[in-house]
Order: sequence, then structure tokens, then C-alpha cells
Amino acid sequence: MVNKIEVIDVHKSFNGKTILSGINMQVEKGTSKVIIGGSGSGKSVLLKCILGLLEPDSGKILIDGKDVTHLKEKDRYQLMHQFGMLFQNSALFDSMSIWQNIGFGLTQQGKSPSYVKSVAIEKLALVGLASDIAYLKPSELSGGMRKRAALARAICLEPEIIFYDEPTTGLDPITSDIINDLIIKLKNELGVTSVIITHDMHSAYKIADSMTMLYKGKMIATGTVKEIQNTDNPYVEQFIHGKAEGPITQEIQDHIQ
Amino acid sequence: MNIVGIIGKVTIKATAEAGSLALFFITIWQQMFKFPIYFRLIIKQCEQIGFNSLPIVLLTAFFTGGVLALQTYSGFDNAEVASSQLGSVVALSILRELGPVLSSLMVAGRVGAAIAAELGTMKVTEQVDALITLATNPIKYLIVPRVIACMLMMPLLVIVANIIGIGGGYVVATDILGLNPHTYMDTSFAAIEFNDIALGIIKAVVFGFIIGFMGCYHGYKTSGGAEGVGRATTVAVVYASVSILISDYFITAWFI
Ligand SMILES: Nc1ncnc2c1ncn2[C@@H]1O[C@H](COP(=O)(O)OP(=O)(O)OP(=O)(O)O)[C@@H](O)[C@H]1O
Ligand SMILES: [Mg+2]
Repeated sequence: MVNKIEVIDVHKSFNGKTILSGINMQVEKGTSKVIIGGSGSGKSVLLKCILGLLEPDSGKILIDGKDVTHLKEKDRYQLMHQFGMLFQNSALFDSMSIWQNIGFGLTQQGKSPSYVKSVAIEKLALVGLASDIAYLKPSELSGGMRKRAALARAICLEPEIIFYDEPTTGLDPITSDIINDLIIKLKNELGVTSVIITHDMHSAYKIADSMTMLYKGKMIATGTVKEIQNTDNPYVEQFIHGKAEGPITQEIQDHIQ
Repeated sequence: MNIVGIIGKVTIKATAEAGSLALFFITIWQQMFKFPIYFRLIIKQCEQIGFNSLPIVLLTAFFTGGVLALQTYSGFDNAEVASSQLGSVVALSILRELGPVLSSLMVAGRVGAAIAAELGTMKVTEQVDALITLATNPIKYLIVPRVIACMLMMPLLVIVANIIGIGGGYVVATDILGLNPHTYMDTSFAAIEFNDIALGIIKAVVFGFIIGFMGCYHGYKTSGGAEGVGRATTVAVVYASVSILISDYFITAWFI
């Protein structure tokens, strides 16, 4: 299998505080990679580095085997056409209605408003939202609805790679499963390569081809769902079972003392 | 901390800020002439920046003209000199200085703050990042239309402000001070030269740019949540106002 995304020894720190210290990760073409890890461990920062929204301090990011860490502006925006991104906090444009948000990419390509609207409504249905929402502003939606509208925007142009930052957080169990199915469907039908950050283990097990855990700036474990579930790494074991006691909490307590 | 240390720190900070402003200026300049040009966004911004600023600019201009007539009149020794000179003093002051400067300061408070707050909010809520992931350059999409609209609208606002300001002076001079309307108008128009009008317009374009640029710069560089947005808004207005006053001096000095 070919690697669609390859992250090689990426470091990133903010104001002297190290967040990522040597990340290595491969995502094979047409598969989905789930990243798990504690709150504040740097998962969102890693995604932004891959997308080029943040520049890594060192290391390389390869997309289709090409180094994209120091792209020229024009090539950077060209590359963005391959990407779809669901932001953790939705990041919908609050000056636009939902259909304008979802169809933003299409409008930029010069498509007519009536066409954009019809596509937007189609995408809304995919994420389980009714069509009358299309005419509302983001501020008139609930958090979970905003998340799904943002997902519709991310998948609207049928990109080759989709990044999902906590796609099911804040959704009810049924809607969560609809989103899980959608992620799997996009992968199977369109061959999308996906990178998913999630805290929802049920969802992770369902959608992941490969899982990896970020802890203290490094990937401490990578494997299939089976391998992660049967891990002998005590950190991973504590995390995936959500136990209050274990090496992770122990280290925090030691740190406090 | 010792004095040298403080001076050093301030110098480094000021230099860094100046460099950052210059880089931002170059970035905007480069994007301004590259396709695609978002005409629709420019028009929308023109409406928000220009048309919606009309009431406040008109109000300011009218009372500025009025108070100018009142103050200048009381400064003259006798009524005869006043009636032959008041019109020209008011007209020239408005056209050269007060029209452009006061309108720009009002617009800086209204529009500069609004731009900084809107862009700042978009920045801290990752809407700017979202724009980039949708393959759209935020400088081109958000900033260039605002700066262009400011540069287009400010001269128009100043032209209207000039007319209303002179009108305000006329109303006060004739209705309240009792000067002869005909002589007042005649002396006003006799004093006005093309250069006076041109100077006001040139100033308006420069001030318009300053307002748009400062609003966009501070909005776009916002970090740190709601507090950051508040700070960006304040700083944008202060920077814009101070820059307007300083550049006003240099444009005037260069012109005279
Ligand atoms: N722009 C920034 N400037 C400074 N620090 C930042 C910035 N972005 C993120 N950080 C820091 O990086 C760390 C990791 O943040 P990140 O958002 O990646 O966490 P996360 O793993 O996504 O957590 P969560 O699961 O809660 O979303 C945090 O400690 C945060 O304070
Ligand atoms: Mg996150």
C-alpha cells in the first residue's frame, strides 16, 4: 500500500512549551487513521501542522510522497483542494447562512447560487440534517447541528483527504453512529483517506483501520483496532478503558508533588 | 529595571512592530492586483463602510462648520471684516483640514473598530483557518476588499462632509450671526481653489487606507479569545487615529 500522508519526526513548540516532540505517522491511501490521546496532548496541533496551518519547527510532512512543509503560497492553496477539514469548534463562517457555508468551495469555483444551494441541501441530508436549516445562520443552530453542518462543508468538494477533529463530540448516540457510517461510506465509496481525532472509543473502534496514541509529544502506540485493544502498553490500556487509576494519572500526581 | 534596559526593550518592540506592519503592507499590496478580484465583496464593504457611515459623518461635519463660524466670528475685531472674511476662513478650514481629518477620525472609530472586531473574532474562532482549508486566501478574501472599500469610500464621505460642513457654517453665519447670505457665499467661493479641494481628497484616500489597514492588521493578528478581540479593537482605533493625525501633518507640509 502507498502512504498518502507521512509525518516524519515533526517537532512543534509554543513559546518554549514543547507540544510535539518527534511525531512519526503514516496513513495509507484510502484508509482511516484514528488518533487518540489526552486533552491538550497536541492532537489538533498535529492536524494543523499536516494541513499547513501551523509550520512545524522541524521535521517533514509528505503528501503523496512530496514534502509539503515549505510550499510556496500558490502551491499551498492548490494542495488545499485535496483537503477537507472539520474543525473541533466547527469554525463556520458566522456572516453566512448554512448553505453558503457548506457550498463555499463551490461558490469560489463560480457555481451558480441555485446549484450551490441544491448541493448544500444534499450534503445536509448526508449528515442527518433537514433542508430547512440551510437558510439559518450558524448562531441559530445547536452545537451538534453546527458540528454536522461543518462536516457537510468539509466533505462538500469530495476531497481526497478528510481530517475530522472530534466529529462525534457533542452528538447523541444515534447521530454519532450516522456520522460513523458516513465516514466509513466516504472511505469505501470515494476512497477517501481519513484522519480522525476522537475521544469516543466506540466510534474509534468502528471507523479505524489503524489507531495511534499521542502521549507527551510522541506516538506511543500504533496498530490495528485489535492490536490496540489487546495492547500490553499500560498507558494505552489505561486510556482506552478510561480508568482513573494507572500510569498516566500516576505521572500527573508525581508531577504535582 | 534600569533605564537602558527599558529603552532597549521598547526599541526592539517598536522595530519588530514596524517590521511586521511593513510586511503586512507588502502582503496586501501583492494580493491587491492578483486575480481573482472579489468585486461583490468590495461593493458589500463599500456599503458598510461608506454608506452606513454617512449619518455620523454628516452630523459631525454640520456642527464642525457651525462651531467654526461661531468661534471665528467672535475672534474678529469688527463685524465688517467678519462679514467679508468669515466665509473664506470657514470654507478653507473645512476643505483643507477639518473635513478630511474629523470625518476620518469618526470613521476610524466606527469602521476601524468594526473591521478589527470582525476579523479578530474570525481569527480566534478559526474561521480564518477554515477559509484557508477551503483554498481561499484570507488576505485576498477578507482584507483586500476592506482596504479598497475604505480607500474608495473615504474621499466620497469627505466630499459630502465638506459640503455639509460649509453648509453648517453658512447656517450659523446667516441665521444666528445675521451675516448677509450673498456676501457670505460669494466670499466663500471666491477663496476656494482647486488645490484646496484636491488636498482634502488626497488626504481622504490616505486616511481611508490607514483606517482599513490598521483595522485589518490588528484584527488579523488577534490572538487570545474575547480579550484579544477587545484589545485588537482598541489598538486598531488608537493606531489609526494617531497615524491619521501624523500623516495629516506630513501631507500638509509636503503640499504647501
Ligand atoms: N496557537 C497556539 N498558541 C499557543 N499554544 C497553543 C496554540 N495552539 C495550541 N496550543 C497548546 O498546545 C497544546 C495542545 O493543544 P491541542 O489543541 O492540540 O490539544 P488537543 O490534543 O487537540 O486537545 P483536545 O482533545 O482537548 O482538543 C495545548 O496545551 C495548547 O495550550
Ligand atoms: Mg483538539
